[in-house]
Amino acid sequence: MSSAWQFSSFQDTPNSDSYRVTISHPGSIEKGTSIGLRVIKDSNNMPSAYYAVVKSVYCYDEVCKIDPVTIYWNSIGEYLRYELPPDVYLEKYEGEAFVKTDYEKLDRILHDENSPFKDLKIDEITASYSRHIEEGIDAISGATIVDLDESSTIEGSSLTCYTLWHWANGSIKDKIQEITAKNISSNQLLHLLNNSEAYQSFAIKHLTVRKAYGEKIIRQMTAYSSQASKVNLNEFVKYAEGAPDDIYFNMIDALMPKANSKQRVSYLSSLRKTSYSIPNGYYTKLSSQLADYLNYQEVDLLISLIEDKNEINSEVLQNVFLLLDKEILVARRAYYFLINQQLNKEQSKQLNKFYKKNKDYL
Amino acid sequence: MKRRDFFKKASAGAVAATMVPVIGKAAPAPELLGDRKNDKWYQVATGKMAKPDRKQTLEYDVAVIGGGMAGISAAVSAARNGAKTVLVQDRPVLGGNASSEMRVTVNQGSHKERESGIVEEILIENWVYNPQDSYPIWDHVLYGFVTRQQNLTLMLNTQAIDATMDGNVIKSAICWGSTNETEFTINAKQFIDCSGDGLLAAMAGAEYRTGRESKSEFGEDHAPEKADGWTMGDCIMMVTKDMGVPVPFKAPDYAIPFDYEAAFKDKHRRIKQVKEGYWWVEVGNEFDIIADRENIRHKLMAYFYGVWDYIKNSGNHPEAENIALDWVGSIPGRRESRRFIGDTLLNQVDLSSGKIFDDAVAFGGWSFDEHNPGGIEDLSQPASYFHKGIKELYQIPYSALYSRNIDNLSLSGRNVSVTHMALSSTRIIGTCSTMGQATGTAAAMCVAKGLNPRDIRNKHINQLQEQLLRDDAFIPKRPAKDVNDLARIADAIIGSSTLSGDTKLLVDGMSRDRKDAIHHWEAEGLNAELTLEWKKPVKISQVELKGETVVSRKMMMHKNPEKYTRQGQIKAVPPELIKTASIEARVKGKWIKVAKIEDNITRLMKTNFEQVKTTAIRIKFEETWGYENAKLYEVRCYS
Ligand SMILES: Cc1cc2nc3c(=O)[nH]c(=O)nc-3n(C[C@H](O)[C@H](O)[C@H](O)COP(=O)(O)OP(=O)(O)OC[C@H]3O[C@@H](n4cnc5c(N)ncnc54)[C@H](O)[C@@H]3O)c2cc1C
Repeated sequence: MSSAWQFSSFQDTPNSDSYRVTISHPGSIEKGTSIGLRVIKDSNNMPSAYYAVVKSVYCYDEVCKIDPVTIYWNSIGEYLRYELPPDVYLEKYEGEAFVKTDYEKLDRILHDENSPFKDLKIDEITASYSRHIEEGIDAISGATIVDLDESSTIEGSSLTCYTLWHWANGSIKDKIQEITAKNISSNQLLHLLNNSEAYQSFAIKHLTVRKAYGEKIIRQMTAYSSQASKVNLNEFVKYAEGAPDDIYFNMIDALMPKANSKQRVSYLSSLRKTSYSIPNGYYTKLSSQLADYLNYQEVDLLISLIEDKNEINSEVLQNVFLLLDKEILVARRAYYFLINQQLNKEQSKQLNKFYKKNKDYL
Repeated sequence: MKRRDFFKKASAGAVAATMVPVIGKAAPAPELLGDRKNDKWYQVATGKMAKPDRKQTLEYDVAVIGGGMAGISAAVSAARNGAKTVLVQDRPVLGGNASSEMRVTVNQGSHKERESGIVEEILIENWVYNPQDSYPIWDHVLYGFVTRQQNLTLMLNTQAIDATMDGNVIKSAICWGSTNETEFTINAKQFIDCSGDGLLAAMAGAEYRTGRESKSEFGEDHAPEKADGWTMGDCIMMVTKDMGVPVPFKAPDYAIPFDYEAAFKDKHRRIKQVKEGYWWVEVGNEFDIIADRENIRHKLMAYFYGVWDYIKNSGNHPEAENIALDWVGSIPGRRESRRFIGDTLLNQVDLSSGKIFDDAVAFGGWSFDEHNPGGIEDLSQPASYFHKGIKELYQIPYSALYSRNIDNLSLSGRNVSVTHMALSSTRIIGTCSTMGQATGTAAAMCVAKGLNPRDIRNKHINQLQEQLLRDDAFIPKRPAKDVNDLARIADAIIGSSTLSGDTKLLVDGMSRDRKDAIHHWEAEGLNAELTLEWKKPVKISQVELKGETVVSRKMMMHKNPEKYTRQGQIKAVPPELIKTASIEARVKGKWIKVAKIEDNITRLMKTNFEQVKTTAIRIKFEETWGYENAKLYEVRCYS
């Protein structure tokens, strides 16, 4: 029976490089397994995909049939697909051959980065797979593992699924990223910012590692940050924090006025923990926007920055006073700041009024 | 007060119901025990003849009988919940089957996730005091854990042998101290029998079953066609050491030669390792496994040495050449004897269908691991039937954990209200411990309210479940919704940073991640802060947190050290757990420190301080046991 997963073996093209990498696989009793990883490059000579031939199972009692399986990954090590040599068929434990739906299911399982196989130990699989009672008393009921969700394994082939899943999604990912990073220019990294979230993360991380703070890159990164996902916004802030002090400050300064609430929280949090000295008057400048801030957290952050730096002046006070009309959490934060300041008569009166009105909330 | 003729009463109930015979009395008559009329004790120092007074009457709120993992959990939770508690254990050490006397692994009910609560506390503590994984030291880890609890008295070498009754109520447990020649009358309001065999409960006249139910009685398709008297058997274990050079072995005279050819016809009966004993060296009984126990012990030793003789001297196991026995058990570990009948009798169908109980208080998840009842004496059957059918964690209802006919008697561990087939799953030690935590907590509630377990089940089950969840028990599909928890009504919960999860999830009532949804908040790095803000001031004197111990990672101690690596275990306090944190309250605009958490080794971190009126609480996470981020599952605040 032939299936969609059988292709003629891959023809090496002139623009493919190969690497020997040592991977630790949780199914292996050895510390590391050495495998040949081949790189497919695009017309710009940039790595576009990888593939390697791996064993379908790690098996230490002679009963398993071990088949070669070719696995493909994209340039940041995400699993793409698998292939079998033309005459190879995968089998289940009792020798029953895979059918088309099994091959499809295997592909689905390998695509699931959060498969239950991620956290399982080989013991838990083999105990269920062969139902061997090794060891301990009653511990045999490793059989419980057999009750892996039907959707997350192929019954009778959990060990194959487990082995291949760890090939497809294991530590090879880091190796691939390492190789790609070595073979890609900063400009090419910038291009990846238009790609999926995972590519974006990869790009920002490596720009940070490279300390790529050229003008053009900064410009593009700053532009990118406004649409970054939550995870990548964090990555972006780390990129900014890795820059020299003036660049860091300029980036934050440029971004603050246009930032939304979520971004402001990130930037203000970064300011709170930076060891760079921030120019005098900067928080006074930010305070002029306080009245537009949307939530308690950002208000608290900015007021705390002002307190930390003791940047108290009439402009700051005025801006904070505007918060007394906001919802109580925000207003109360302003109030607790203001009662510790030197106020003029009018301001004191206003604060007193607030106190009287909101006694129950203080 | 008249002691009850339990034999008559019990026969009327259980025997009629199950066609399974009930056994007779197993202990001497208590009147004789403390009787010292004829002593002639000449005290040289005083020159007097004396008669020692060796009878004592003790008063407690809750008496827990049996110091296995179920009994420890019951006693500790009763004491922590405010009841004056005694734990009566007939052996010199705690732990029951898990003690150094038997060395059974404290398994978790499911391979996928562990129990939290008291059993987890003990397992973590073991890695602090006993990183060398010594069983005798483990006994003392348990001893330290139990004896330091306030409100809790431990009586070792003391066996409960009889009950005095007032109608359907136990008034006292009559106990015999084997090291101090003393008869103790322990009066208590609530009794929890966690002794496995359940002598006290039986003497009180609590109805029970033994043997195997028929398929038809509960529709259990793994059960035999016809009911019979078989129980799963007893076992002894071994631990070996590698001497580095060949060591001879001479079997004792009483060893029974091992028929390995017949035995190995079943693929389960194999010599897969030479480190820690063979669970299929097992001997059961068709009628009265308790009465037969000394005989069974002898047989187990004889069979065991026969197997070892085969391993060492047949030439088939060269891997054992340098291996010598270092320890072999002297009292059998026990799987099954009496199962006391509660308001609910949990069966195979309940477990495999994942039945939802409105009185769920504990949980399990092991497969139906039903051993061949004949054990090594019936080589025609497989050593165990590993029946399939447990798909996910199942609930255990409170109504299976108290007697249906003795008003103030609860049960936990392997003697609870389950069928033989259900016990093949519920007997796992982790599961037994969750039951113990539930009955102990409930018993304290009974005492506080002047009620009995059934009243708690009928009228206060929500309160019981909430207390258990607050104390870090886990009940599948039963999130916490404690109305007294002020964190739930906070107007904002703010994390200084968020790497994964959400601060909102800290008050969603689920204190661990589930397959379909996460329930945690993880900050980026340490020195993270969590702030709770209330619009109107609240009064707070307790802040409680639940940290990360990775319930999907195993934590138990093994006889075979290879398992630590193979199961990816960490023999230390979980690195992810918060070690140091401080708690501040904002009072009149100023932050004041109200509590400090230091050297914490428990998932549940409770703090107590003088009540403050405040509008905000701030928790600063300073240190973990090695992990780079602060991670949390729950925050609670109470007045
Ligand atoms: C050989 C063997 C292997 C097993 N393997 C596993 C395993 O790998 N993992 C696992 O989780 N489970 C295993 N089990 C099952 C598990 O050990 C038991 O189901 C579990 O220990 C029951 O816990 P318990 O607290 O109810 O009772 P026990 O652990 O039996 O504790 C009861 C205690 O009460 C004491 N006691 C009894 N009568 C009295 C009395 N009248 N007065 C005072 N004290 C009394 C006993 O001495 C004992 O110390 C195994 C069982 C056996 C026998």
